[in-house]
Amino acid sequence: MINRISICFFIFIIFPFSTVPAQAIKGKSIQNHSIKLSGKDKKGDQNSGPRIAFLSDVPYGSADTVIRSCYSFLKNQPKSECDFITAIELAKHPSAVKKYTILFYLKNERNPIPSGLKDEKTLEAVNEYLINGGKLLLSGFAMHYLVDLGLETVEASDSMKPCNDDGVGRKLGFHALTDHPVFRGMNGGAYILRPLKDQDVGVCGYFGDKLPARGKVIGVDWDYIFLREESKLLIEYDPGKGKVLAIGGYMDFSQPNLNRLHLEKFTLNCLRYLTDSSKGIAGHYWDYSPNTVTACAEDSIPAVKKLLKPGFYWQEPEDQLAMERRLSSNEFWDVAGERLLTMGTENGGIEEVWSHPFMAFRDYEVGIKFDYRDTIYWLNDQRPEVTAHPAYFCRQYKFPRAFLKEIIVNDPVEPAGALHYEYKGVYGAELFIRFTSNFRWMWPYSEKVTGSICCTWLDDLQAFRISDKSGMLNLFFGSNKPAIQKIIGQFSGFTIDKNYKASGFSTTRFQAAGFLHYRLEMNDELDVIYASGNEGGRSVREYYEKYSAAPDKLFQNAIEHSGELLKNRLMITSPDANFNRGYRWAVVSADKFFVNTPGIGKSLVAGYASTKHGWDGAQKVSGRPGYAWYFGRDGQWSGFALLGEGDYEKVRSELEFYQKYQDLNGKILHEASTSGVVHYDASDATPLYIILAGRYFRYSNDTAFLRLSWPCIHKAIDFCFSTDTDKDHLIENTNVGHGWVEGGELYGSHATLYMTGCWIEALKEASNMAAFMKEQDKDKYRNEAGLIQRIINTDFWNANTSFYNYGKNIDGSFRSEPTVLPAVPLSFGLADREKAGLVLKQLGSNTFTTNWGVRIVSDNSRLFKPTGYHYGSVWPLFTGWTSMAEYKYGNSLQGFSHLMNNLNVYKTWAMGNVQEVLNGAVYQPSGVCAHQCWSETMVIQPALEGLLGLNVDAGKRQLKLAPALPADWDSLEVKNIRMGNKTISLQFKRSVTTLSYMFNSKFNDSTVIEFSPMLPAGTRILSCKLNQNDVPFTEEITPAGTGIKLELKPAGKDLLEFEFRDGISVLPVVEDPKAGYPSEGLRILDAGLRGRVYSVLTENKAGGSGEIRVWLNGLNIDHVENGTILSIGGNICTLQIMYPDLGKKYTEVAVNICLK
Amino acid sequence: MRKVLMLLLLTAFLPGSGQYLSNLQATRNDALFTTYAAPIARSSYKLDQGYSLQFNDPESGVELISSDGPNFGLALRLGNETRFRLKELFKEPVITTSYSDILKYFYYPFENIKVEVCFDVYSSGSAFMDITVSNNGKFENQITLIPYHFYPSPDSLVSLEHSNLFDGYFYPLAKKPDSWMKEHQIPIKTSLKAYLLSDLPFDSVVATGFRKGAKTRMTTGPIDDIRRSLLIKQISSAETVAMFGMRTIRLEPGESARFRIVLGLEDASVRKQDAFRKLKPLFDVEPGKIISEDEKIYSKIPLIRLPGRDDEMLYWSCFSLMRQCMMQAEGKCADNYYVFSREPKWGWGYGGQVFHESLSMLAYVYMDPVSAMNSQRVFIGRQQPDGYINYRTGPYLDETIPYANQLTTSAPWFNYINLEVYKISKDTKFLKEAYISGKKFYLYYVKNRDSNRNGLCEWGAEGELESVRDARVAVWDQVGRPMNFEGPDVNSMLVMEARSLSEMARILRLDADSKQWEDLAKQRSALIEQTMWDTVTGFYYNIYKLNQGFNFHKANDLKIKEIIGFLPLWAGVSSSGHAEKLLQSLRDPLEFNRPYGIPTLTAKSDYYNPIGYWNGPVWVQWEYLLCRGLRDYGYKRDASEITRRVLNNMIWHLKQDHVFWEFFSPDEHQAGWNKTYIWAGIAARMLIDEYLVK
Repeated sequence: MINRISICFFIFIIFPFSTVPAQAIKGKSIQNHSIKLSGKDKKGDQNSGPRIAFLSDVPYGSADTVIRSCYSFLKNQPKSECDFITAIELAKHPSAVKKYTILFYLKNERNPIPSGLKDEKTLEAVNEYLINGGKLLLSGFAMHYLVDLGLETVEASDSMKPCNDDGVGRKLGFHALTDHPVFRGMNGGAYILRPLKDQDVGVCGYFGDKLPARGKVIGVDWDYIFLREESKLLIEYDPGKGKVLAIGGYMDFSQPNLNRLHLEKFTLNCLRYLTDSSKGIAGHYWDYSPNTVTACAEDSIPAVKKLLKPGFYWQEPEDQLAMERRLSSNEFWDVAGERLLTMGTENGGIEEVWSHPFMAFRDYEVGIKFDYRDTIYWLNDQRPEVTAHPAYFCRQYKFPRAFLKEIIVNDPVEPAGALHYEYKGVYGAELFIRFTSNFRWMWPYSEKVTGSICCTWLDDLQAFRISDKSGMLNLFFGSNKPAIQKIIGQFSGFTIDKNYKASGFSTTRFQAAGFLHYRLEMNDELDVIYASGNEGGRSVREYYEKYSAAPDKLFQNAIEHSGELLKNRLMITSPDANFNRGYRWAVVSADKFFVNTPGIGKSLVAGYASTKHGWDGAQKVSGRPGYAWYFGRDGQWSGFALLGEGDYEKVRSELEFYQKYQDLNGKILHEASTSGVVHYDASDATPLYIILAGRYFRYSNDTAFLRLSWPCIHKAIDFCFSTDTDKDHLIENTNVGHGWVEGGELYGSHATLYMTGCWIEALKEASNMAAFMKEQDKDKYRNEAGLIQRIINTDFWNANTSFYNYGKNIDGSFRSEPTVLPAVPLSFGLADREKAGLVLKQLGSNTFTTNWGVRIVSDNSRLFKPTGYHYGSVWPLFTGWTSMAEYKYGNSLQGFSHLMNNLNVYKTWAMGNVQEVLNGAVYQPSGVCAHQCWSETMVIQPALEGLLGLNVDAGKRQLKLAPALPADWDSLEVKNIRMGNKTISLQFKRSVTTLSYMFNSKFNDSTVIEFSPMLPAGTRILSCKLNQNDVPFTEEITPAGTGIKLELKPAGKDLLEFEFRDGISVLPVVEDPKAGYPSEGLRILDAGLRGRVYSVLTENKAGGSGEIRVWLNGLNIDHVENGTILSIGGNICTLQIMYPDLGKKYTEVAVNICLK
Repeated sequence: MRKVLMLLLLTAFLPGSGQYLSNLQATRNDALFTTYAAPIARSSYKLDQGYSLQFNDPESGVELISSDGPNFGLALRLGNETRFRLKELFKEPVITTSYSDILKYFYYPFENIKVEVCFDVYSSGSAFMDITVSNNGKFENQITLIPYHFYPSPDSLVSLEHSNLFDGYFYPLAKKPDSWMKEHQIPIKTSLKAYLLSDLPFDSVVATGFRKGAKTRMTTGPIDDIRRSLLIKQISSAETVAMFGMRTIRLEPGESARFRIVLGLEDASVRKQDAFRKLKPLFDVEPGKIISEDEKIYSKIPLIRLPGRDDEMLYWSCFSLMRQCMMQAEGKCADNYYVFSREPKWGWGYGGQVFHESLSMLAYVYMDPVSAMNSQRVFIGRQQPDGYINYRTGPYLDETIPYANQLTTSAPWFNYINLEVYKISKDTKFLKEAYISGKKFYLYYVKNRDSNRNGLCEWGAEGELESVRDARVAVWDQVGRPMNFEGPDVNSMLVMEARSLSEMARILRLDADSKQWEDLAKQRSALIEQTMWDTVTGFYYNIYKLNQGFNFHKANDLKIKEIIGFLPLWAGVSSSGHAEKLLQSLRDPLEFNRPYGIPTLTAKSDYYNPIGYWNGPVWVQWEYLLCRGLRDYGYKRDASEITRRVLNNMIWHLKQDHVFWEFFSPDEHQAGWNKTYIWAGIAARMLIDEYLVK
C-alpha cells in the first residue's frame, strides 16, 4: 500500500509563461538553501520576477524526491526565484512571508499539519499576507491547512485513487466546468499524471456530497473518459486581495510521467493565475447547488407584441431522392443542420433535439382531436406514411375525414427548426403538443451540470422560453398561431380533462414540461418553431423571431442547401439508377455531420442516435446522442471523401479544429464532445491527421493554409516518431492509445499493421508537404516510409496464413490473426502485388465477405462473434477499405461489389442513411448509430478513388483518373471533379466499337490528366484519337483486362475516342440483401482471360447454386465448363453454377467460358 | 350505333377476354385491387363477409383481413426461424389470379420453400384457403406450418370450443352495427358464431386473447415463441383473439403438401352440427371451376389497347370492384342490386342504391348488361304511383327523407343511366320498362321541384342530400340552402333526362313523344343559358329563384365557381361561345386545372379544400361526366388530359393500398374517405372512352 500523495507546494511566478521551455533550463543549478529570514534580501529586490517561498514540512535534506523534484522544477524556472523554507522556519519568522509573491506549500505525506504552521502568529501572518494580496498554493494534503487558516470551515477528506492500466492507460488529472485559466492551452482540463506503473495515488478533496463551504470548485477529478464530478480536488479561495488555490493531488514531478508537459504547463498556469488572474479566459466554477426548475424572471429583452403571420401551404418540390414508407416503422430518422440535430423514429413525434452542446428538448408529441369526435389521437400511436427527403422529414397521417401532414426541418446553418403542419379536414380540429426539456449537457458532463433552469411563456412571441441559470443556454419554442392553452413547469406529464383543459403532474425530476393547445380550421396550417443555442437569450431570441416570422424560410433554406450540394459536389451519373440515387444520398447524408458548436468549432461529428441507444456513459441520465460529437479518426477518414467530392472548405475547417485542440505533445484528439471535453485516447488520429492535411494540400493547393498549419503538422509528425520507443521504425500503441481496435480479443498489440500503414502514408504526405515547405526532413520522411513499407512486406507477412499479421507484440513476436485491417495499407497501395492478391482473395471470400460487407475477422476465426463490435461485425468502414484496396490492385469486380454493399444500406433501415455497424451473420444493425458519417463516406470514397480512380495534385497540376467500370455500363457522367479552384467534367459513352470520353474543363494552365481506364479482358484497341488526332498511349494487357494509359492536357472541350473490338467480363455481383437474412452468397474471387478461355473463380455455400452474368462484346461462346447457360440477351450471358457439397462450408467452382 | 357495333365485334372475336386476371404476375407495387367478396349467386345481405389481402405492410403478416371480421394468416418455421411478416419473406407474394371473389398468389418464405395460396370467398358466410407448400430445394426439409386466425373480440376466446365430431373449432363473435345502420334498422346479423375446419390435423392448437396493454387469458402451449412474435404486434387497435394451429411436416425435394382451411360464419342460433355440415362440402369445391366461372363473366369486358401495365391493372380492377358490390335479389329487391362497398362495410355504404352511385353502371354494363339492367329495375320496381323514386333503395330500405312536405329523391340521372345501359345491352324490353318509369319520374320531378313555375327547378326536400353534394358545400354553407336556388346542376340533369327520354322514345318509335322531350330539353337549355350564365366571369352559377339573379344576401354572392358550372357542357346546353369561355376556367391551373383532375370548387376559393368533400376533391364519376361533355364539344385533348390526371392518382393509390377511394385529391396523392367505393369503377369507362379503337 502506497500511502503517499503527489504533492507540490510552490510559490512562483513565471513571465511570460507561453515561452517557458518544456524542460528545466540547462545550466541553472538546482540547489537547496535556507533563506535568510531576517534582514533585507537584496536578491529579491533586484529580481523583477516573482519570488516563491516553497514551504516544506521537513528540511531539504530530509525531503523525499516528490518535494525535491517539485522544488527543483520551480527553482529552474527563468526570471523567478524560489526559496526553500521549512514549516519550523516559517513559524520562527512568520513576517518573512511578506517578501514573497507566492507561498507554495506541498505536502505529500498524510500526517498532520506541522504545529508551527498552526501557531497563532504564523496563522495571523499568513492571513494578513493573503488579505493584503498574497498568493497561496496548497498542493496535496496541504489542502487541510485551509481550515487552520480559517479560509474553510469544512475539513477536506483524504482518499486513495487507483491508477491501473486496464487497457486504456493511466490518466489522472482535473477538469473544469468548461474552462478555467489554470487549464489555459489545455482545453479546460489536464491529465497531469500518466505514470508508467500501476499505483494508488493519494488525493485530498471533497468527495461525494461533501462540499467546501467557502471555496469555489475549479476542477474535479478526471480519469480516462470520466469526469468524477463528485470528487472536487481543485478549489479556489479569494481572501481579501489575495488568492488561494488548493490542488488535491497528482502534482508529482518525481516519477516518470508521460504527461510531464501537461504537469508543467498546468503548474505554470496555476502560478500565473495566482499572480495575474485578471487576464485571459474567464474562469468557470462547478456548481453543486440543487437543480431546480423555476419561473423565469421577467425577460430583460423588451417585449414587443408582434402580429403572428399565419402559416401557409408549403409546396414540396419534386424530389427524385425522396424515399417513402407507406406505413411507418420504428426506424430512425434525423434532420440535421450545423447547429440543430433533430431525431426520432418514424411513427411519431421527436425523440430529441440537440442544440450543441446541450439537448434543447425531447419527447415531443402531438395529439389531434377532431370536432366530431371526443378522442384525442396521439400521433405516436399512428402509423403514418413517411417520406425522407435530403432536406427534411415528412409524415402524413390519415384519419377519417382528415389528413395531417407534418414536415420537420432545420435550418442548415442557423440554430432554428420547425414542425410544419398542414391540416385538411372536413371538420375543424384541435392540436395538442407536449414536450419536455432538461437542457442535458453533452457527455461526459453529468445531468447535474446543467444547474437550474427557468421557464416562462412569452406572450409577445407566443412562445415558451427555457433558459439555464447562466442565461447562455436558451430554447424558444412556440408557434405562429395563438395558443388556446399554454402550460409549462416542472411536470412529469399532463392530464387532460373532459373539457380538454390540461394540467401538469408535478414531479421532482429535473425537467420542464410544456403543453400547448391550438385550434385548426378545416383547411389550416400551423408552424411550431424552435430556436435554441448557447449564445445567450438575446441571440437565440433573434433567431426565433426571424424564423417565426417566416418559418417557410427554414424549409427553403434546407432545400436550397441540399440542392446546392447535389449541384456543386462531384456527381456521378451511371446507367444504374440505384447507384446514382444511393451515391447522392451518401453525399447529402454525409454533409449532415458537419456541426458548428459556438465556442468549440466546426468539424465532422461521427454518428447520430438518440441517448437511449448504446452505452449511457455510466451516467444516470445519458448525455450521449449516439456519437454526435467530434472524433479524430472518424472525421479524418470521412474527410478523405469530402476532398474527393470537392468540399475543401469543410476539410479545412476540420483541420483547423484538430489543430486547435492539438495536445501539447502534438497528438491529435480522439474525441471532443460538443460540451468541450477533449480526449486523446487514440493513436491513429495523429497519422490520419497528417494524411488528411497532406491530401488537403494536394487537392486544394492551399499553400497559405499549409504554411499556417505546418507547425502543427510538424509537431504531429514528431509526436508519431516519438512513439517509436523501441526504434524498430513502427509507431506504437503501447502508452499511446488504441489504433483501430478499441477493445475485445484483438486489442493489445504493441504496434499494428493498420497503424503502420497509416504511418507510411502519413510520411509520404509529410514528405510532400515538407518539400513545399523546403524542409530538410522531406527526404527523411520519404526514406522512412520506404523502409517501413519493406518491413510490412517482410516482417508482417505471414507465409503460413498467406496474410499479413495483425500486429507486433512488445517482445518482437507477431499476432497472426487474419483481419480486415490489411485492407488499409492495401488501400494506400503499400503491399507487394502478389501478397495483395492473396489477401484480397481471402477478403473477397465468404469467410470475410457477407452479402452486405466485410467482417473484421473471418467467420472461421475463434474470435468470431457476429455482434462483436471489434470481432465479428461488419462495418461499412471495413467494407469501404476493402473496396478501395481491391480497386487499388485491379480487383474492380470485388471492389464494385463491396462498394455496392455499402451503398445499398440506405434503402433498408433509416431511410437514406447508412448504419454504423451491421451484424456479421444476419443482415441487421448491430451498432449504436443508424446514421454514421464514415459509413456514408465509405460509399463516396471507394466510388471516387476506386471506381473512378481519382487522384489530385493541384500544386503539380496533375489529375489522375483511372475508371474501372462494370462492363455493362455503357455511359457515365462525372460532373464537378475539383482540382484546386478549377473543375472538370467527364462524359463517357460506349457504342459497339467506340469508346468516347468528353472532357469539359476551363483549364488554362498546364494541367495534365493522366487517364488510364481499365477495359474488359480481351479488349483490342485499334486507335486512339484526341480531338480527331492520333495520340500516343500505352496498353497493358493482363488476364483481368486491358489497361490503357495516356496523358492529355485539357483545353476546354476535349474528345478522346478509342476504336475497339472484343472484350469479355463477368459482371460484379451486387447483392441486395433482405433484412434479417443470412450472409452467404455467390462471390467472385478471380476472373481472367487466358487464351480463348475466360475463367471465373467463384465461391458459394456448399450445396447451393448461383448465377453470374457475363458481358461479351464481339465474342462468341463455344461452350461452358462447370456452368450452364441460362440465357443470352443482348451482350449479356447468364450462367448458372452448382456448388457441390465437398464437406466444407463453402465451395469454389471455376467456370470456364470457352470462346470460339 | 357504329361505336357499339364495333365494340360488340371486338368482344366477340377476341378470345380469352377476362383471362388477364388469370395470368397475373402482380406484386405489391402493382395497381391491383385486392379485396374479395362472395359472388352474386352466393351472396346474402344480412351476413356478408369480405376480405382484403394485406401485403403492403412490412411489419405485418401476409394476411387476408377484414375491418370487422376474422383474419387469416400463415406462419412457417424452418429450423429455428419463424417467418410470416412481409419483410421477412425471401420473396414477396406474387398474385397470379385475382377476381372479385377469388385470389391466388405464391411467395417464398424461405429460399427453397414455396407457398401457394388460393383464397376464395365462397359465399357471404364462408371462405376457404388452400395452401400448398413445396420444397423446391435439394434437401429434405422439416417445416412447421402455423396457420393463424384472429378476430377483435376478447370475449370469444373463453368460448372457443372444439367439436370432436367434426374436428373443428368454433367460437362466438359479435358484430356491431354503426349508428346509421341502427337508425335505419338495417337487419344485419350481429350475434354470430365462427367455425373453423381444416383437412390438416394439427399437432397442437393454441388460442389466446389480448387486450391492448395487457395480455388476458393467455393459454400455455408449445408455441410460446411464435405466439409472442405473431401476436404482440397484431394488437394494433383494441382487442384481439387469436388461434393457431401447428403442424410439422417433412418434405422431400420436389415434394408438396396441400391443405385447406374452411371458415364459416353463421347466425348464433344455428346449431353447430348444422353449421359444420354446411361447411364440409367446401372441402370439395374446386377453385379452378370458380375461376372458370369468373373468366366467363369477365369475358364480356371489352379488350382495349391500353398504354401500359398500370392502366391494364386499373381497368380490370375497376370491374372487380363493381362486380364485387353487386348482390343477388333479396328482401324487397326483386332483382340484383349493389351496395357501395362490402369490405369494409359501413352503414351509409351498405344501405342500398342511389342514382348517383348508379353512374357506375355506365361502366359495369360492359361486363354484365343483365345485371346492370336489373340494378336499374330495382328503382323501377320501387317507384311510387306518382313517379317518385326513393332517395335510397335497398333490400331492406326505402329511404325517402321527408322534409318540408316533400320526399327527398335522388339527383335526376335516372333516364340518362337507363339510356346508357340500353346502349350497351340493346335490350328493348328493358328500354320500354325504363321509358315508362322514367317518364313518370321526370314528370314527378318537375312538378315538385319548380316551385315558382318558371321552367327552372330547384333542389327539393332535404335538398343537400338530393343534390348529391351533401357535405360542406361552399354555396350551401356560405350563401343559403339549396331550395332557394335554381341551379345549373339540377337543370342540366333535367335537360339530359329529357334528352334521354327523347332518345328512348325515338328508339321505341314514339316519335311524338320524342319531339316533345326534345323540345322540353331545348326550352330548359335556353333558360339555363339566359339566366345562369354570367358574362362577366364566363361561368354558370346558381341563381336566386325569386329573381333569377346572382344575389342572395349580397351582391354576386352566388357567383361561386363550383364544378356544377361545367354540367351544362355535359348536358349539351352551352353555346360554343360559352363553352370556350368555360374552358378558360377549366384550363387555369389556379382554378380547376389541377395536377390530378378537376376539383369540385375553384382552387381560388377560400373554401377550397382538396379533401373537403365538395369543396375541392376529385369525384371520379363527375370527372367522367365532364370528360363526356368535353368530348362532345370537341375538346378531346382536354378530356384526355383530365382523364390521365385522374387515373394517375387512382393508380398511385391502387399501388399503395390496393383499394379504390370515394374521392381523390386534385393536388396530391391523397384520397378519402371511404374505401372500395363502387363509383370509382367508372374509371373503366373513362379508359374505354379514351382508348377503345372506334
